[in-house]
Amino acid sequence: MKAEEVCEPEDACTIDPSSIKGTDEELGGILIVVLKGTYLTWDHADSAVEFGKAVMAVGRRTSICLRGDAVLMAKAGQDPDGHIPLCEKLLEVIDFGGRVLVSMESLESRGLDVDDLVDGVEVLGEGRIYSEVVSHDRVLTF
Amino acid sequence: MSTLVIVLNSSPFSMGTAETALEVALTAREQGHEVRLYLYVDGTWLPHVKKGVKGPFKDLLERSLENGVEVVSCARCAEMRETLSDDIMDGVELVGLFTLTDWLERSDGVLTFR
Repeated sequence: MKAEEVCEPEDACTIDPSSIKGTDEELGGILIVVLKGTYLTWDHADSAVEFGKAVMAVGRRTSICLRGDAVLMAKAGQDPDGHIPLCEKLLEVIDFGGRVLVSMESLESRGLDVDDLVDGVEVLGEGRIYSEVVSHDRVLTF
Repeated sequence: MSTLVIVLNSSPFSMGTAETALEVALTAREQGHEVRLYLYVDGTWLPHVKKGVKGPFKDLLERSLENGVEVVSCARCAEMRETLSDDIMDGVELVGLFTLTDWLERSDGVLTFR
């Protein structure tokens, strides 16, 4: 049995990009904090991004915040065998108007800097991330 | 009365996360709040009658459902773990992601257990 067979057609598990029409600034935003981003925990990272797309599809402002090992999701030049590179999924979020925030401290502690990342992500210190937390309506953690 | 959404991303096999989520759900419900539990990622193992729901989880999940906690499970995550509808506890519905976006719209607060 497939997921599509048990869900209502309007309640999809995988978001069709064409359903994302842009966000309504009047609506509060959703911040999705991701702490796992390597391929052994691929499912958490993928589910977080897919949920972000669902939030955008209902018109809400969406920000995905990468902290801890999840900053590796934004590393450019990934070539995982058998998987869609996680950085490409983040670029899809940015293309549709979402934001991808990366913890500077988490990045630096892993020997990386902004030049190692895909274009369009925002590298922020923990103080700025705190500001993002309080400026969004809801925060979910993966 | 307020509406609380709980998102459980963690499996019942790891530490006490799932048990704590269920205890919070049950306690909030017993205090008169609307409680909705969305099982996501590894949380979809929880209502699996053969592999997930055992020991304290079975009792807590049954009591939660009996007390009116609305419990749903992400169908795609369940499909990936081969835990689709034939294998899950009665009363737990398989849904998509727009159920969660809708719940967030209508909630007063959200808690994530991961």
